[in-house]
Amino acid sequence: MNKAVSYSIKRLFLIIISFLSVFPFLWMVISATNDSADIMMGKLTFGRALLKNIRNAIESANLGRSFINSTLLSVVITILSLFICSLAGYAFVIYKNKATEVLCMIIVASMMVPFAAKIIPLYRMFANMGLLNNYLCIILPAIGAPFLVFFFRQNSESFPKETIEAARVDGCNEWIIFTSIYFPMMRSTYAAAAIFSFMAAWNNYMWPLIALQSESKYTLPLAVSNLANGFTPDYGMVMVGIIISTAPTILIFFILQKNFVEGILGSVK
Amino acid sequence: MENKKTVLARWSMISIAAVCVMVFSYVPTASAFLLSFQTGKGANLQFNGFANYIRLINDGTFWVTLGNTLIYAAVEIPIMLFIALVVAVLLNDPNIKERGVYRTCIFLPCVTSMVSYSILFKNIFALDGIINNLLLRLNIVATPIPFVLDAFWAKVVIIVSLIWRYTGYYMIFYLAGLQNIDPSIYEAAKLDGCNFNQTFFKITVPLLKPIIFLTTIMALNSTLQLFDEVVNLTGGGPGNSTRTISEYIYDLSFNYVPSYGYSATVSLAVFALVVALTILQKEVTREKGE
Amino acid sequence: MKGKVLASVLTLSIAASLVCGCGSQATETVAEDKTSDSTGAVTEAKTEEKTSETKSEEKTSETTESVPITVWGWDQSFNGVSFEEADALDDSVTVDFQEMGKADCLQKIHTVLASGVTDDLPDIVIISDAAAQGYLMSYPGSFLPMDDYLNYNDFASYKKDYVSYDGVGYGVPFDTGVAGLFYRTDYIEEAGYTEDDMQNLTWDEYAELGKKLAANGHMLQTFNPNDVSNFQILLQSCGQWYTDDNGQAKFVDNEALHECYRLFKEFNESDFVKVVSDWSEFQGAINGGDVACVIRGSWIASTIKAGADQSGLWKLAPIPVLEGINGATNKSNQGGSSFYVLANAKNADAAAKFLANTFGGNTDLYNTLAKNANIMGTYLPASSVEAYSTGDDYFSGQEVNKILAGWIAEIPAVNPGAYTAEAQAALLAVTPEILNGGDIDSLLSTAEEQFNQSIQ
Repeated sequence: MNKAVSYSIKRLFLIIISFLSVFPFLWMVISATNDSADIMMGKLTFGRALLKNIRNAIESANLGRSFINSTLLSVVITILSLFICSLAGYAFVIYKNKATEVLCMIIVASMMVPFAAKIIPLYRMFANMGLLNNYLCIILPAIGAPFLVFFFRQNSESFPKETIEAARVDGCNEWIIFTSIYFPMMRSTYAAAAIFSFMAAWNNYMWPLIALQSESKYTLPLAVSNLANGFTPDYGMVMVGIIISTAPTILIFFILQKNFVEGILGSVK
Repeated sequence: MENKKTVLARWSMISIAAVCVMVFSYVPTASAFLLSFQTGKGANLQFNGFANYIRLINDGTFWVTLGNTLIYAAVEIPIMLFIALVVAVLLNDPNIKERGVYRTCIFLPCVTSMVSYSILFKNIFALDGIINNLLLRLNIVATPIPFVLDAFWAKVVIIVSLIWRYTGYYMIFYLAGLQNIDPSIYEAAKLDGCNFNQTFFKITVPLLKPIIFLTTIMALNSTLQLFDEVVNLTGGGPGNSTRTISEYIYDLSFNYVPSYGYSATVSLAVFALVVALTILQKEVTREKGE
Repeated sequence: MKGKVLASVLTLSIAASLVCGCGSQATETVAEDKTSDSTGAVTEAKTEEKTSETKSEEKTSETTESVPITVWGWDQSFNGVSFEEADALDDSVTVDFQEMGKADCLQKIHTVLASGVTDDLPDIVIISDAAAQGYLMSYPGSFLPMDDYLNYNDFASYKKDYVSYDGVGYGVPFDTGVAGLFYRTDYIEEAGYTEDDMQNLTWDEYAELGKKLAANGHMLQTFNPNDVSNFQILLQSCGQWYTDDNGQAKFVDNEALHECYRLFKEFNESDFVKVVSDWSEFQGAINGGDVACVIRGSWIASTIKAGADQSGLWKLAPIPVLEGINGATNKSNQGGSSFYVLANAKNADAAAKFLANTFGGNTDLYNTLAKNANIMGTYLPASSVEAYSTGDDYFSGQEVNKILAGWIAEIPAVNPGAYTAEAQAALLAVTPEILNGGDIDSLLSTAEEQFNQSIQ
């Protein structure tokens, strides 16, 4: 009885939170089917403007091209940053000493410098390297992400060190330990990190805006933001653009969330 | 114990990330540091000692915006992280069916675009919006509350919107962290007859400590760099009452006649503040833990 | 190991360039072999773009060696269209208009100019008039002086001050923000007013109209207590600004500004305004038929027209006049922007000639723009072009463009200096207290202090 009550309370709580969370998103989807004027007034029911909005959005911006650009960039950044940052985060825990602790602090601290202060020197730096308007200038600053290093480091604290010792006794090379023991065991951590990294790369706005010069290289957020320009933005069309630009992140989350089911030992067993 | 192999592995594993951060973050930061000793507008800069630092101390707008930002951090972060943790723990319970659905729903706010949710939030909090209608009907207030036009309520709106938007984001940190806890610990607790509260505070929270520390720092950092929400919801007003420090930094560089030197000074002050708070927090948690 | 060496070389070179200040000098060689690379990318991108009608036109003209000109700006349907039409008139260039949000565009120009990097510069940038002098002051040598290309007397005189710095003209004046009072004929008739009554209002009479409208269940206009940007309409209508000619704050000793606050407070306490908190609510109030009047720059017409169901109900009148202030008129301006050529751009000279030939010397262009896109510039010889005399059905057949064009020449000129954004921020900070009944003189002097603090 008591158990059933507590179960219902938990579910009720989750249902309420889910509803509150999902409502604005739902409204965004509803809005994509409405006219701009109805959207401004907060209309809550589906309308009939969806096809018109889609047509306008496709005509107004090169969404297809920028969608491909963004996908390409985000996938490359996610893979590279996951590899580079997990390696560092792992090393900061497994080979911990005074020097690495200090270095780790320094790396983590770098994310606390407001980006507005770095943007002009960064622009100058990439101009000097001749990499402006080149995707390398988006990729390079993103792959050594301090927050991912920090994330892997904190999660590695709970990684059982005995496993490593055992592997060393078995004659495993340090890199083999990382790739064949740590990597599979930390699956859920990698899944979460992939979500974070993809989101950060996908939503990155200010730097691509400054560093990319030709419209053919624009990423999706830049293209979508162009939809909302002008004195009288057509919000119906903007909503279509926004939905297109959020769909991949949701998809990634949907695929990866399955990894939040079984714990670290689940994968070992 | 240290052998050549581990030393080599250590530094080679760390090196790529370290080099990236040094080149793409600290080199620009160093140049910002140099800038902080220069005054002048736009490209007309000259070295002027500590003039910018003196200006900082006397700058009313700096202190007001910093104060606002810290208020956001102090109210928002504890509430948000607590909800995120509770939700994550609930969602980690295999007895709850449809976990995947709830998880996805709660994650959605952080991908909902700023443009759409600012329109919706403004409609909800408008003078004739849902909330005011509700309050009037329940006789809680006699006249509608001008949410975004009142200094106090505008802050509340910002904080509510932040909690709404980022709880799901931080939930993922906890969900991932919970997977790294040995389930046998929970089984043992269950056998000992621990209830939900006991398990939560005695087992989950202590074991998640590194993750809680991580999320606190992340949340603190993102609050200090808060920009979009405020610009879209209240535009910093009324007056300066919701304006944030990073909005001010942006204005100093790109909206006013640019004072790059002073803007860098304010940025570095924020940097120093977050670092100081981080160290402080690390010390506090360490004392408790050890 | 190789990586480390590379990285340290990289770091060193970067550090070196930082020490050199702007870094543009030190890196010219690198920049050189890069430009070829990047132009290659641009042309490649062009061919890959969908060939719409205009694009294929450009392509044929490309064979006669037309110079590629890049423009950074905002609002495709306004500035973008203007450049398309201008491009069609001049075979010597091919324009690539790169659209960005306005704030994004202004930020990007700042970043690029501040970095001192000269490769990949656009040839032409659009800058809003209120911010223009800030750019001219901040980046000496970055903008091409246009005095040799243009005759500034051909443009509305109030524009010249906006686009000049230190007596040198840099900008090519473009769109106007000539202010008008747009009103709903049906609402004011209900309140017992005629079209004639609307022509010569003072601000107090305007407020009086509000009371009568309210009695009939309509609101006079929108009101955002957190937005003082309409003050510039009132100030300029008296030939005043937030600052004096030396760029010093002029808040306390500014009768016109005191009048602004008196009216602002009156509106705030009145029951005849519709309170809004941002642009979208503002737009909603107009299109939703909540308000009878809108006083803004002429660009607001496109927003009003978005409410298609109100066609034929709107008309245009001059703005109210601030009674009792020296030099007060019923002509003013709000907003507008101009074009600037970057001196270090690859095709700066061609771009300047192009602008002078088209926006600075071709009335046909303005005729086409008015006819096809309802766009109006500030080029005076164009004020009598044919298209301006077309009646606008939305405004009950009024010749709106002709009326506005007539006003443009009469707008009092003011020198806004570089610090308009700072002045508005400083005033905004004390505005809630003024509205709450605080002592206006002491609050304005607080704002002056803050302003002085922010411009140092």
